[in-house]
Amino acid sequence: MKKLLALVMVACMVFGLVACGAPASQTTAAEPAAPAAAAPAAEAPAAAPAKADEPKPYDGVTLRVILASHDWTNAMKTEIPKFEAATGMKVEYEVYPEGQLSDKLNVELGSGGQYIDVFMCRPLQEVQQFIKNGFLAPVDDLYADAEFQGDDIIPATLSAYQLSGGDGTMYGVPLVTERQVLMYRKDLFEKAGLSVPTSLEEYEACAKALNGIEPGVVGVTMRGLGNPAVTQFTAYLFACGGDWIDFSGEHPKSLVNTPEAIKAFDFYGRMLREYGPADCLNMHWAECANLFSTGGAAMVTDADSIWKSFCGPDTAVYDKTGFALTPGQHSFNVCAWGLAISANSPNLAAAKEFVKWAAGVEEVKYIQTSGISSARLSSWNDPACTANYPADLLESIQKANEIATKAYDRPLCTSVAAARDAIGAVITASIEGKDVAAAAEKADAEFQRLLDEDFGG
Amino acid sequence: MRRWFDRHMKLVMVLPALIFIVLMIIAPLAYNFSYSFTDWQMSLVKAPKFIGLQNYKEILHDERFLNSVWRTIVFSSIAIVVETILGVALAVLINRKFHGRRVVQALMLLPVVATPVAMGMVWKLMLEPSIGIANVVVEALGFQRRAFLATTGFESMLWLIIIDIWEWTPMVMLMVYGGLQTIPLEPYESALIDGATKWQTFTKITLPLASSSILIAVLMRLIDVIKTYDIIYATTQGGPSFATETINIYGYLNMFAYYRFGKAAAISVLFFIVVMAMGCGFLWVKSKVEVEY
Repeated sequence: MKKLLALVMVACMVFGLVACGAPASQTTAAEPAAPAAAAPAAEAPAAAPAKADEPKPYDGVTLRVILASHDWTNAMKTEIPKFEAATGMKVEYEVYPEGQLSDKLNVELGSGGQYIDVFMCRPLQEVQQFIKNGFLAPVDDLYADAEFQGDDIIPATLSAYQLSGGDGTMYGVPLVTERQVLMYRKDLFEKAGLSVPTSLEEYEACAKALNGIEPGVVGVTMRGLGNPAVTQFTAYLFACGGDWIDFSGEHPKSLVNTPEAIKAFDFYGRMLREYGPADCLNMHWAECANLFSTGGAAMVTDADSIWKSFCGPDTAVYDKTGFALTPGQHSFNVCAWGLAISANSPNLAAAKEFVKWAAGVEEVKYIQTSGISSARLSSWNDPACTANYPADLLESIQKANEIATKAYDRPLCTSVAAARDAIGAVITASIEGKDVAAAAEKADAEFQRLLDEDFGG
Repeated sequence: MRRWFDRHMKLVMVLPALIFIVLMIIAPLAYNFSYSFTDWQMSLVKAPKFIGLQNYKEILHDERFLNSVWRTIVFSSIAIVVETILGVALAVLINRKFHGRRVVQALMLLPVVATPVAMGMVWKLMLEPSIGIANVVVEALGFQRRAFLATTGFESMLWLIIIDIWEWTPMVMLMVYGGLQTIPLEPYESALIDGATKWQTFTKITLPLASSSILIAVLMRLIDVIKTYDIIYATTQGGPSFATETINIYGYLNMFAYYRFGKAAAISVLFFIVVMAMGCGFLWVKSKVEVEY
């Protein structure tokens, strides 16, 4: 009896510790409280138990899907039950904000990944590392499937799911694409008698003229929080003629302290310091969106895929906002989010079926219609799917698609997070008006060290 | 069997806790310690490789780590000193009998019972320079608007210290108040007869007799404050530009953002040593200044 009591006590204590150990935000972030382990399920459709009504191909299969808290996920929540009804599969999904999603995926995939079937991830942030570690199941057969229409996916985005310098095997499917666009307040431009800026010089002149044009309105807002700002800064780096890494030599070389990069750092920091909000050093895109959507800023540049947060129909500036190419006229076209399958998923066939459906032509059309920039050409070319886009936004996106030569918005290395922290420090220094060249020099040394580690310098 | 149990009752009763400590504290510590001597990075797909003290050498030459150590020391020492002084003052205050004392006690405990992450978010919103209420107050008082947490200077750190003080002073107060309740009345009566002033009574009787509970409160806060993670992560995440990055945050980033397991393990070993050393040093001080009665 005492032994039993002791056992129960130990179990209680262990449980208590585990419950306390989980980060608070993570437990609240998981929306449906899905059980940790997917039920051991039948792999092949044939194993489905017969039911009174018509048997479905994946009856009895439970799929565990990890999703990001993103507009795409919100739009799919109503669609997933339809998929379940059609296939007989049970889809248990959990939703996490992007930072926690990364942690979650790394920990779970790193410890085998046999409890995850399908997951959403940011390919440019982590897929290179996932592929190298063997976390991802190849999905070439999906692309070969005529029903899936793999050739309909924007070709530039495919590289996000291939190993750089590898054999071209596909390890996932792009879902959301993005380019950087300029969102500006048409009413304020009219009031100041300005035209939409195309060059960096014009952009700065506009920011100067618009700063304080109305009480509490700043000229421009952009991400100022070091690490997250790196992707948005990249458009200006390209516009100044810079790049992140020189792959031409024998070893990849950091380009963080080239004159072009320093010019871009200077420009970005000066814009925010002189004409930006006071707290820009702590601003991620959500803070920028809060400010712009409530009429606190005259211009903002950020990803087009999240335009609704900045100036969608629910905001105060919906009918006052215009869109244009990012000043400097250099854009990138990147795959921001995609779906991949865990290499050790016990339900590979069902997982592929889910991906095939979720990233298939019909669902993508639905997604695009709800205002999320998809990765399928058929959706972009279908006027019905883009009817929800403001005309000038659609025009800027299509222009950006034409001129975009680069499919990345951050350094293409394995240690992306560490590289972004190092580079972000230069952006912070520039915003604060500190010595940019010195900061760039320091970041360059750190970034080169990371590159040497990643690529074996 | 039953007799065996009866004879070894002590062992049986301690065993669950012992198993728990070994499994949940000692084993992970040993595991962590062993990995601190390896080069193990998830981003490079290499099995852990033994590299001796290389991680430690690297860390001790890492400017970011050294800065984080300095910030941890500054954060902890200021927070501890202020929390102790305020905590003792408040404890003495609520130890007096006055109307509505219970209500004041209950209200003061609110920050302690609130979730630190939630409180961090609330403070972050209040200190938000554009829309936060803090700048409204600052302006109403006739000062320039401030950036609060959005500065790379000492200001952001100072605000984190203020948040910590706000949150944990009541805890010190509660523990010291408990100690004050145990002080007998006789010494006070003697002091009164001897004609001691109020200040003399406080410094010669109250403080020495409450020193035991004050020191325990300080020790507990010390261990806790060095480990502060939640409010920093909820407000600044160590930024802007590492301005509020403490050892804990730096270790977390190395582990969960950069996936340098070996280096992160070494950081936590060093951190463990620092906390242990400070704890032991403090216990030594405690044994020197404590008054028995």
